Amino acid sequence: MDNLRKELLRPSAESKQEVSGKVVSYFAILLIGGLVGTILIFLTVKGIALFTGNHFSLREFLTGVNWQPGHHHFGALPMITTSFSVTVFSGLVALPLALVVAIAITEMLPSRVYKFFQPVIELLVGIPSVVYGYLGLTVIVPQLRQMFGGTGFGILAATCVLFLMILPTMTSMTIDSLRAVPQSYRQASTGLGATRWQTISRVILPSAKSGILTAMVFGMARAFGEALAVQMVIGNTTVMPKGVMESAATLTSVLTTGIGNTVMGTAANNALWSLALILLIMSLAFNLLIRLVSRKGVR
Amino acid sequence: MQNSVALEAKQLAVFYGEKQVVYDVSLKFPANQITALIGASGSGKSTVLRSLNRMNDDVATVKGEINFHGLNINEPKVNVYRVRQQIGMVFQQPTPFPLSIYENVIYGLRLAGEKNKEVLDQRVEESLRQAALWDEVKDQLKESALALSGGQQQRLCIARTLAVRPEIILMDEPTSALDPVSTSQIEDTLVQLKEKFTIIMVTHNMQQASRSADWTAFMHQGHLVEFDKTANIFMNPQEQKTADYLSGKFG
Repeated sequence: MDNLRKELLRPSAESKQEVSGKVVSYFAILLIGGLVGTILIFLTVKGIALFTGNHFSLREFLTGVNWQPGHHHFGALPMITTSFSVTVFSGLVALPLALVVAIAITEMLPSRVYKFFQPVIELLVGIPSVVYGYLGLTVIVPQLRQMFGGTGFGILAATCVLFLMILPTMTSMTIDSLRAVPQSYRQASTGLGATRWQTISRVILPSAKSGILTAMVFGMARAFGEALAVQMVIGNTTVMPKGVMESAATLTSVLTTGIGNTVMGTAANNALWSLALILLIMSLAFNLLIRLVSRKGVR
Repeated sequence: MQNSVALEAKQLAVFYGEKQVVYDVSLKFPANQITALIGASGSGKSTVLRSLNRMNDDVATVKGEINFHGLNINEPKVNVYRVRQQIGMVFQQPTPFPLSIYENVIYGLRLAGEKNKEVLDQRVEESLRQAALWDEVKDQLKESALALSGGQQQRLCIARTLAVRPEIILMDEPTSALDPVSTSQIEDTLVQLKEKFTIIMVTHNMQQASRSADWTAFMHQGHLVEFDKTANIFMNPQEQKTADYLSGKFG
């Protein structure tokens, strides 16, 4: 009996495994947390240097329309406007299309269509953005040039490329949220005499609302943060856009074109960091929005 | 009293693809009575039930006649949406929609285009009273139906079916997901309901059939074995298979 008592109090292989597992997990969590914290701190310090170190006014940075780093003009409003425009435009075009495709695949077409489309869509999600940019450069820009004149580069071209990029993501997420609606809802609705369309519009879409909104915000967050593909087709002119066919620049495209051409520590370089800080704040806002939307859906 | 026939299945045969699961089932469901379909899992009782209001349309091939008011409703030209308003269905799992209690009850009416607020209000109260749920929820009609207990949700689903004022209500194991208290509440409700509606119910629970049903049909491996007054089936079954099933020799 005494032996058993000792045995029960002694650490064993299992309990050691438990301890080492905990150590590894906590270390990983610490590493990730530290990484995120470092990025946040670094970006914030660098991002406010323009205002604290170079004494440029924040108000002028946010509302000024003149971006000429060489002449100490750092008005970021054109880029902020362009970033929001391409994001909202591509989101607005992509959402209805994603929704229609998702409804068709989940509610109308036989399940083998879904089985075929799911990997295709996932493949599209995984294509590197440079490929989309190249597609825009060789197909969309010349096409727009032919249709509307001008160079073809600009907000419309960027919107088209972003639309192509976020459509698969949004479709795939919308499909997931529609498929998450219990089959019993469909049966119950049918049992009450509903047509398929009535069931979709009155039960399925309302039930999947938060998932669909999340898909939209997610897609738009991706569009907002996309740099390379946009930079390839938008023309990169840091002026206030006057129309969708005008060449413009987004926050991201200015960053990718400019960061290699400025010297660390100069006002011009600091201004780019400030743009990056705006991007960071915006992606935090998008994340927060996704959280809010999906929490509302749980009820 | 001998009742008139509310619904008649004639030589019903059901196929899932090539596989036949229901053979030559003919049943006359008496009006304003509760008829129970009993049988082991896979006996085809749920399949028969679902065929009665054309819920099997996209799932299986249903042959034979289903006569309702002198019309064979198992024909392509029949408007299935109208059929399902006349022959409603309550499922095994309570399936309230993620809407308010009020909106859940009037779901079927909204489908039919009813907009008059007075009609809707009146129908909500009437249906919830019939389903014996009114007193419990009358102060929270605008709240989410998902907050109700399982038994309340199932009675809400019954109310939702009643709100379209069908003649016949099909129930597919309506209490198998519920606790005994909720089950007996629903059984009491059913007895009240048969004054106005004809009820056809699939059940695994033989006590339930013997307690609530006026008529019982026993099915085995896709065949209708015996159909009679419940008392006769339970006390004096004519077929050996029925007797074996009821005494628990298989099931």
